[in-house]
Amino acid sequence: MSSDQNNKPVLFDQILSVYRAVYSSQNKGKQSPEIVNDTVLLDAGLDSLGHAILITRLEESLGYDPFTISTEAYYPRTFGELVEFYRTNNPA
Amino acid sequence: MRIKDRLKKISNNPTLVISNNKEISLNQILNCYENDLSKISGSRILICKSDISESLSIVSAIDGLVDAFALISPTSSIELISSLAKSGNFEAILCDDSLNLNKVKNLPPIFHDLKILANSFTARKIPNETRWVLTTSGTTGKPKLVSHTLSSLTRTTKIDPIRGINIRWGMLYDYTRFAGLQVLLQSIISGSTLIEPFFEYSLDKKIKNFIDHKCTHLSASPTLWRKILMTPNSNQINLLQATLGGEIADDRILSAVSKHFPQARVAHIFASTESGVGFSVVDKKAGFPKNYLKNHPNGIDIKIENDRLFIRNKDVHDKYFGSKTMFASNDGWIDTGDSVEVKNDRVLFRGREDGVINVGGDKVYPEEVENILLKHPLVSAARVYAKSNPLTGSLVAADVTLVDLKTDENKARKLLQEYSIEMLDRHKSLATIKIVPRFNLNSSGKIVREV
Repeated sequence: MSSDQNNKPVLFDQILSVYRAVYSSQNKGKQSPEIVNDTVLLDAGLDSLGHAILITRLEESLGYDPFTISTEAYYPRTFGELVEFYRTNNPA
Repeated sequence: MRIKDRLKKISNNPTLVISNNKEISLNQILNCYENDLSKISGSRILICKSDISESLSIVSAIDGLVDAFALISPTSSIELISSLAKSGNFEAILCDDSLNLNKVKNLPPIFHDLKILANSFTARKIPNETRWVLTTSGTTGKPKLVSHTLSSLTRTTKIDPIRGINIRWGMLYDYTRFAGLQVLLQSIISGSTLIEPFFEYSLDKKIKNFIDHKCTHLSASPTLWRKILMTPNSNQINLLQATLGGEIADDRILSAVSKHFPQARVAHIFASTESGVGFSVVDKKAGFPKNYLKNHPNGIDIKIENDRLFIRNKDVHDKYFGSKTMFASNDGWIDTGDSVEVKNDRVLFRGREDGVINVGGDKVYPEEVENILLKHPLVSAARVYAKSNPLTGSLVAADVTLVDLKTDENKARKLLQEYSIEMLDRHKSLATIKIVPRFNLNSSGKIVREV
């Protein structure tokens, strides 16, 4: 339980750092806006191609892709939901 | 039967279109052009209008009179409109006032008003059936013209006016393209209401528009459906029908759409501008039942040859409009270019036979990306392929060997990724790069390409 709680902010920051890098590469070097748990993914400035690239980069950086691991067909809507999806489907 | 005659069969004058929140009734469409338009008989007209209800009024007035009309997307470039007008031998262009074609040379006469256009013609023979001409997507080169007729376009349209009156289709496609025209015709011929939000609206606003106008039926590509599912409040659309088309629909997206819209019948359709509607699948599973190869769904013949899918639809032409170029074999088979695999009782789509990568509906030729990569001083050889992705179906990936094996791999990957963004359209840029020491070569010395 406690390790889960400890992992939460770490995973949030890990995903956020990849998100910022992808955002910048997809938006001519611009910095991403402030991202919080409730940020709606499609409103934050990355389009579906950007999010597709984000998932690929997260797989490279975290070592897993929850979309292929999860048996549930799920599409997160907010940044918090995205982090939670990666947390609950972490195979490690 | 002309579209006007089909529409006249609908009773009670329903609202046929809600375009940008404005309601247009059936009678408004039918009575828009009461004047005699007979001078237009036998002509060929290119229509490029952004207002869906205006186009609908025009098409209702001229279907059955003109030899052919083309519906061209108002987002088309002036160069494209000019080249399509020429290749289809169109005699007049009917377009928005805002479209400035006057300075373009060698164009047929340009009109903004159908009545003025009609008066400038001399009547010729009325055709047996007017040809409806559409453009192909053009993602694999310049868009081409394909002709259909109202009967071929509505061959599979289910007409049930009693149920139709309660149906409200949401429009997410460009109505001039095959998929959009299918939604438009399905909706109006059944006396249903077509909801068309502002084209410029964000998806979020379009969804709000669909909720406000009580949309019940929606058709979109799998990539767009994934975006819909990622949009908050989208589950407030009380969908009774969700149609997926235009790209491969996998089990994940079919299941996610079913879960998000539990009341909806979920169908994925196989269709293309050239072959017309092929068939639809409603069991919410990827691919299609193997017995479709024998049972001819919707009267369509389907066969698999060398793991490739072929379709034969007797209702469509075998040549591009205004051209001698055939897209079907002499006996009518159209090569879909889709690579398929039979697994138990199911035929599953495996991608494109020619290696083309579909990134969210946009096509990418691996050779084009390879050629760009090979121009980079760090690269000695490259192989580009599809990497599957839950949001866009695929992304572009590359295996690369470096000229100097001592180069820092992380640095090389970053440089090549930036280089691909700079040199290529966004959807063609490299999502992932693997540095490999060498490639397997085939007998002719080419890199082995796995499809």
